[in-house]
Amino acid sequence: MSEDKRLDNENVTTESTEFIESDCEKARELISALVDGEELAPEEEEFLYRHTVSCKDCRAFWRDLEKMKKLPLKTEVKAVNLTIKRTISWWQAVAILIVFLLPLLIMLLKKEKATVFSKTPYTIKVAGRVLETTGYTKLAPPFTIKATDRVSIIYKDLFINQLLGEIKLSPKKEITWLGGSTTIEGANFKLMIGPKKIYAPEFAKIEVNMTDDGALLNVAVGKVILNDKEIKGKYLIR
Amino acid sequence: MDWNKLKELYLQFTKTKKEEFFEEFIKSSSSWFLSLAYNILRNEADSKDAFQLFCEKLWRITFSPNFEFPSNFKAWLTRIAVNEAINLYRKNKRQFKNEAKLIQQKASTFKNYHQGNPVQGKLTEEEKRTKIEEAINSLDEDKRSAFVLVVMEGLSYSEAAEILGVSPSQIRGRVYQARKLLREKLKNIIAEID
Repeated sequence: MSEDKRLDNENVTTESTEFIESDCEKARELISALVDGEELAPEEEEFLYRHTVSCKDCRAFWRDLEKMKKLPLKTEVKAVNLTIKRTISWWQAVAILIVFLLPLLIMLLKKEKATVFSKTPYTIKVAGRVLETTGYTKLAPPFTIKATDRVSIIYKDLFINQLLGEIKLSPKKEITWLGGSTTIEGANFKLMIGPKKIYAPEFAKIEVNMTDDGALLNVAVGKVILNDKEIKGKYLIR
Repeated sequence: MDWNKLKELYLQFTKTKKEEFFEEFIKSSSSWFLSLAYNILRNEADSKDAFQLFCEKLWRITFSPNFEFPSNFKAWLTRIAVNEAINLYRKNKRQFKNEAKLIQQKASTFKNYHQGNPVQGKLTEEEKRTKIEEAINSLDEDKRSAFVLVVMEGLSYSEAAEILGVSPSQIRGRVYQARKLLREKLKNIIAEID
């Protein structure tokens, strides 16, 4: 439908095509506000009425604004498929594994039990560093090294006579002391403490107290031979 | 958009601070927010980015010590949403301009095609959509924001003015200017409307 035909359909009694441009601008702004449902001041309403009655362009503008309401101006965006997940990324999982689980796994998998005791803090410090590199932790003395334990790693780089402290041995099967040259095997075991060699021809349980004077042995159970001489009870090896 | 339901969900969240209420609230408001943001940003990916910023902002506001439940919930939420969208728009202005140019080129190609085509029938819905997109994209930030809030979101001039930090009369002027430009650009489409 043409503009003229549309206007013919309206009951317009007076027409004037000459208006001050600013009046049309003002009227159209008011029309726009009306279309939005805004209330006009009485004087604005009065002005708008007077103007639109005689201004066909502004009436056409008004009609167009009403038509524009039918335009799909607003773009509707569908809701996103939203799930707030509290997940961790793979690297976070790895980090957690390393920080928390790996030490636990190491502890569980490690069969060796090894601890260093000493009267002197320096010894503990040195031995402790060695232990820490292999995942061991410090324990409080006294400590019994079981026959099933392999303690070679702990003392690998240490001399036994540096470990001034108490060592208790309860051999049942085998203890291999790779750091030194002495092996304790079953009931017939040998042990090197410093330059001295001792062995037990039968099942024995000995305690070795390392002191500043030397190694103080306490043969608790069984028979222990030192340089072909049987020792009983407490014995100091200098 | 069920504003009462949305308000209720948010109220539950502010009272309980339980995440499930926030999650439900975000789900319920996502469509409204994305549409609002899209109409300002004119880009779906940016709208989603703005949505994320909106969620973060809302979370922070709710947990801030000075938080008070808003008296006008709709205007309050719209203000946050519009601010996030406008902030992102300003940030991505350069990128936005490039995209607007692309849409303009697309529309221009379409226009050239029809000018060179002797058979000019009615525009298809898709073609109308493209022209409308182009027309809205041509509005500057101030006019578009006011237009989106008033015409698309149905807010009053005073509500829109409060959100955009201007006077209601400025909103009236901006909406009118936006309409005037759109009318000019879309006159062929408007003429087809009965």
